Amino acid sequence: MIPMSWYLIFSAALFAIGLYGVMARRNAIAILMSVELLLNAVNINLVTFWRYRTPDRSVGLAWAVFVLAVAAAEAAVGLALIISVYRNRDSVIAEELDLLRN
Amino acid sequence: MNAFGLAPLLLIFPVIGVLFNGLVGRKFVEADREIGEKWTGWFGTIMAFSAFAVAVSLFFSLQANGHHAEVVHLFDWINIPSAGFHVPWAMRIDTLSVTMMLVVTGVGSLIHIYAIGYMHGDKDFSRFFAYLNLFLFFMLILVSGSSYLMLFVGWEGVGLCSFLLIGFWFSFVDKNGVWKNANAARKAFVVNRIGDFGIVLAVILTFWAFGSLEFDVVFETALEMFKSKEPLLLFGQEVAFGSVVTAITALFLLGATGKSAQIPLYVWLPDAMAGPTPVSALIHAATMVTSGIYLIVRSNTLFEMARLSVGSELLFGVISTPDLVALVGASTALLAGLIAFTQFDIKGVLAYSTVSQLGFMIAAVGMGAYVAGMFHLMMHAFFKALLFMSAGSVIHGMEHGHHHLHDHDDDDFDPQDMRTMGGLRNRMNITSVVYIIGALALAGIVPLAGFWSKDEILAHASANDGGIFTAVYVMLVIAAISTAFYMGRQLKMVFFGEPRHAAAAHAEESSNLMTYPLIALAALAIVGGLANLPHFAAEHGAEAGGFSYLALEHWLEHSLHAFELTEEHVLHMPHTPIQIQWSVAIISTILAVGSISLAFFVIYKDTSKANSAPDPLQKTPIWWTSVLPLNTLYMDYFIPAFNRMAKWVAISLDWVFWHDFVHNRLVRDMFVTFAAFTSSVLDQKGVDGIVNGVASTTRRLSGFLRQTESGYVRSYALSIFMGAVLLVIYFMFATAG
Amino acid sequence: MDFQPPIINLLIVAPLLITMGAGLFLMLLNIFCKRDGVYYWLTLAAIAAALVQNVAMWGHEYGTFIARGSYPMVVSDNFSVFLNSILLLSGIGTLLISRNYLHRTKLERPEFYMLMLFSLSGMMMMGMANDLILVFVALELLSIPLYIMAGLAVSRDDSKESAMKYFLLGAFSSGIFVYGIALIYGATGATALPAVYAVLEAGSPLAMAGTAFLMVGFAFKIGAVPFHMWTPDVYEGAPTVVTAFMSVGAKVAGFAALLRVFTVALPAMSDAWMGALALIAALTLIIGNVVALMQTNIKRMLGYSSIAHAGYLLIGVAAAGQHSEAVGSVLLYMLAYLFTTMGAFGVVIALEHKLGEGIMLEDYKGLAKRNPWLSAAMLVFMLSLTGVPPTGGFSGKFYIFRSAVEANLWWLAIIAIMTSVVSGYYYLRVVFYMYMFDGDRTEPVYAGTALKTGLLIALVGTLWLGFFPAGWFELAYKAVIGTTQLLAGG
Repeated sequence: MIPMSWYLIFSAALFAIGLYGVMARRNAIAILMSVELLLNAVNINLVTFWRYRTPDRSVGLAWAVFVLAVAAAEAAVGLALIISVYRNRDSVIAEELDLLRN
Repeated sequence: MNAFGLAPLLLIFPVIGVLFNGLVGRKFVEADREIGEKWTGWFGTIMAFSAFAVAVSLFFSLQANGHHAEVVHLFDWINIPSAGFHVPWAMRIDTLSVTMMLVVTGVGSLIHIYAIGYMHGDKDFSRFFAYLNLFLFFMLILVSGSSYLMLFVGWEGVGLCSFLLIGFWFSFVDKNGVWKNANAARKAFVVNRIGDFGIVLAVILTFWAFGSLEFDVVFETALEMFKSKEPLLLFGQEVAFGSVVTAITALFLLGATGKSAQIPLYVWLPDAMAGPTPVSALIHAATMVTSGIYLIVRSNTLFEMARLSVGSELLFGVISTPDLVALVGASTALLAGLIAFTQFDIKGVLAYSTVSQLGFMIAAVGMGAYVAGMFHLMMHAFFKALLFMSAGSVIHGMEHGHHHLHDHDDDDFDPQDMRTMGGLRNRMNITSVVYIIGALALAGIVPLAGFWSKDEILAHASANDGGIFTAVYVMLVIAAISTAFYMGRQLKMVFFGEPRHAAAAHAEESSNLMTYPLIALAALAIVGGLANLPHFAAEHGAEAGGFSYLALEHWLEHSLHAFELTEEHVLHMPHTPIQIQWSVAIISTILAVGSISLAFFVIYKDTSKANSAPDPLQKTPIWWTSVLPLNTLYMDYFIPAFNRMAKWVAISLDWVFWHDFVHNRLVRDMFVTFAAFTSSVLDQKGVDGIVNGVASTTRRLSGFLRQTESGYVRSYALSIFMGAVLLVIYFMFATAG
Repeated sequence: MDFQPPIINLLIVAPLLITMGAGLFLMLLNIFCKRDGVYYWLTLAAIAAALVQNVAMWGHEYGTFIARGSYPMVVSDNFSVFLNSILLLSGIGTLLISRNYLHRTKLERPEFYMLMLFSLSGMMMMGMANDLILVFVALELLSIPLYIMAGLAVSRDDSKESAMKYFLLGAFSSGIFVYGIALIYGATGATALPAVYAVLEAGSPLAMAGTAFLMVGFAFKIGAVPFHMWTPDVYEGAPTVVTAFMSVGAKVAGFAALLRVFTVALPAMSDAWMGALALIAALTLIIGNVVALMQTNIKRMLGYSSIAHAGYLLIGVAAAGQHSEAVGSVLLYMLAYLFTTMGAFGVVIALEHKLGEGIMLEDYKGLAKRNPWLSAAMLVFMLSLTGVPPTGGFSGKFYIFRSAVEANLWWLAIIAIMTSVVSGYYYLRVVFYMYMFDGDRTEPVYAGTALKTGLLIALVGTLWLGFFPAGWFELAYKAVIGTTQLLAGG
């Protein structure tokens, strides 16, 4: 059986990529996608821990579904906001959102 | 029969006044100027008088009660059952608080009447009375509170009222385009926050050390700790009791230097004179500025314990807090007394004089002469309120005279500049008489009020040996001489000689509403000394004709626990002589009279003019001095030397050092630099002095943080990420270590 | 695996169900009814009903959604009742001050009310959640409607921009937050708070990283440094009513969950998180107060001020690591913060004559003359925010500082006192502008009946807490979480 740490490392890597994406990408949609990566890393973690730590109680599995649902809701709202901004400015570059500063 | 139940009314009356004047007064005045002013003004005044009546009834109740303090519980305030901590809203009625109440409401009522006349025609008439009543409310909370926390409530409240009232005529812009009043208000606020910080820390430390904030409990607990000589457990460390009490009293001193305008925080008070004159009289001379003295007198046992702390528990290892208090007071008295020489503004002289007299009081309480300090506080309230209000009357008269001229070319005319006055005694009879009474009382001429109170302080300083007493005595004597001198100078410049400006020649006496309160105060300034006359003969058991000597002392000692403890040999207070000290009295009288006379000779009448007139100190003395060979010496050396010294003191020490260097450079600039460093504002608008002119500093300093607060999502995310990383690192170390 | 139905008692979550149900009902109603007033009154009625039901549960401890052999997912105790009351009151307050504003700025759309009700449900769930994953769900339920509300003024770029920023950063931080939950689940095999407490060992690296990540999520929501940067931007850009709502609601809810999670689930690591929170509190106090000095926009200034107040509250939370009584002072502070902040925003709204105009400090010049009532109210609110006695702000600070001292966090108390001295400069600057300048503004001041009622309530509340905090503190003290009782839930 594949040791648990493999999954954890995979998930951590995914999480790190997500973090990097949020901070490095300029496109708001790309940032949103990076956030989704974070949430997916969480899901992998939850499922892994369920499988290896508490296989008899299905909480981890159920929680992963919760996180998926929340991620979907977040993405829906986020995309709507991005589109609404795009209508006004013809741009989805997060860097250009600088009316409010200092 | 006692009337302690009436005590809450003391606070309720001013509140009614605030509500009436603040909410509906404006409508009255707008509806009908004359009647509206009468209603709102007199309503506020009657509320002040009612509070005075309550204070008087409390006075008699206390007498009937054998002077025993009474705590009137109003309602619960802060309550922590688990810690046994309990601070109610309660009023402490004892001889000390009643004395303060009488001064505050009594002088306050007279000032209210005066203000009806003085503020006549002002567009914000009712707002002014609302503020005045609000001030009375907070001041009464300050003096009647039964705990340090209530005292602090009043302390903050009067600060707010002072701020609002200094800036009352905020739209006044002087000829250089400076918002003088608004800036003065802000300065008072900024400087006082430093003092308030001291008070907050002191209150918290008191609570820490003694587990309570109520006066009774604090003093009793402190006394037990003092007797047992056991160290306290603070922050998990053992701390000597002496150190704790030294720290608390030192922080109280910091608070007092702010509110009572002592070195180093006195800079706000002279500027505060920009406010309306009744405010200067009530808040910045008679009452609020004395709250620092009240605080120290109230905490007398703590200060006396601090006096007895020895060794490493002293401040900086050299000086005990009461000694420091005395030195701060004495040096303030001296410095401000010297600066007052150089002022030309009629209120400016009185402002520095107030700082100087507050120094006398602080010095007195620092030396352990609590009664003398309170005595001087009362007398000062009488004659300084009198002087300020008479000065207001003079200013009014000058403005009248100026209007009379219909001379509108002369826009630079300043009705407060003493150089434009002169000879006013012929134009303004009542004002000049009461002003002279006030000035002589302040200068300490027998038998006016100021003589007795100042003499008691000086006697105390001279009668005690060693320590700082000699130094304080010398400083106070010089300060007393300068007091007489600058008051003589002012009298001469304002009331004697010939008018130096057409406005002065046409000045008019003020209305009765303004002069009657002056007469009442002048009467008090004459006979006030009776409150605490010393014994004149060695066998002081005899009370001639049923008259009680040292009445104030016998009255106040019921509130001054330190007296009792000294008799029990727990504490060792410096002793105030109960018999008159002839040597001190005679020396100070001679010096005062001599000094006033000198002022009269030095300041020569100048019949010519006006604003352009140079320093009157440089004018030729009157004829007979000019025939003496002494004159050359005097004119060529003494006067220039004196001028230079006085100017140096005024300019270098006061303005350059305190105002510019300490206040502006150290306090303000450091503050601004710090603020600029952490903020990233690029486009400050020049509305605020703090913000003014720091745009360039900001650009240089805000470097890193500016980039992070750039408005960019990415850098915000970076900040969150960095925070997360730091937290993880912290947790690793915290659990590993 | 045989399925056993969980024990469910819906009465316990009734306040939640009422607000959420009302939100859903309004969505349906939106198809038929286009009259704005209806939504307003229905929302008000729903919140009031939820408040009544909520208060009725005072003094009891309930748990519901209990799977067999497990802990309740949702609990209701005095702590949650107290916080829910604050949240529902903030909802009522928002409605009162928004009545006229929404109308005149043409923002009055049914969505506002629905989103507010949903967000309110999420906020309440934050204080009631007894399971980490439910905390996450609640966090999202409160945040997502807020993202939309911030962007409600579609005609304005700054509103949309604030919504976008809030969304991107909020999603980012909640991603980190839920990763923390996953790590704690990995360390303990549990997500129910009492279960985590029972299993958690202090040294576990997974749990430590997890706790740190949890803290990031909470600190973001409450606007603590260095996770605060969205706050001023969003406060400035969002419509003022939304700003008012989130400044109280989101912060109180964040603190509710923070307190429950850290004191119930993680006392084993209290030394570590106490220190971390104390450091964050110190940073927050300094940065919040100092940067606020330079602000010229009152909404932005209040944004920084809310950061600073998060700092004061965090002191209490850090102290709660030592003794639970500190929780009581946090609750009292929140109550004072509710009244004062709502009142201050009420005044801001009255002066905002057009959407996004009239919100500079300059616009407050001469307010004392234009409208003495309004400026007197603002004076009290500013004094309360500064912490001048006798106002609620002072009482709150007093108790907080005292708990800090009890917990030996005296250095933090001193920083807090110093920064509150500094804070006087920018709060009193508003007073300075109102009372010491002549203004040239001629725009009317919008103070309708609803707004006046709201301001009056806020004023009375602020002063009441200033004069008589003792009774309120006793209530707050009764609302301190009893850790031990909850353990018996299984």
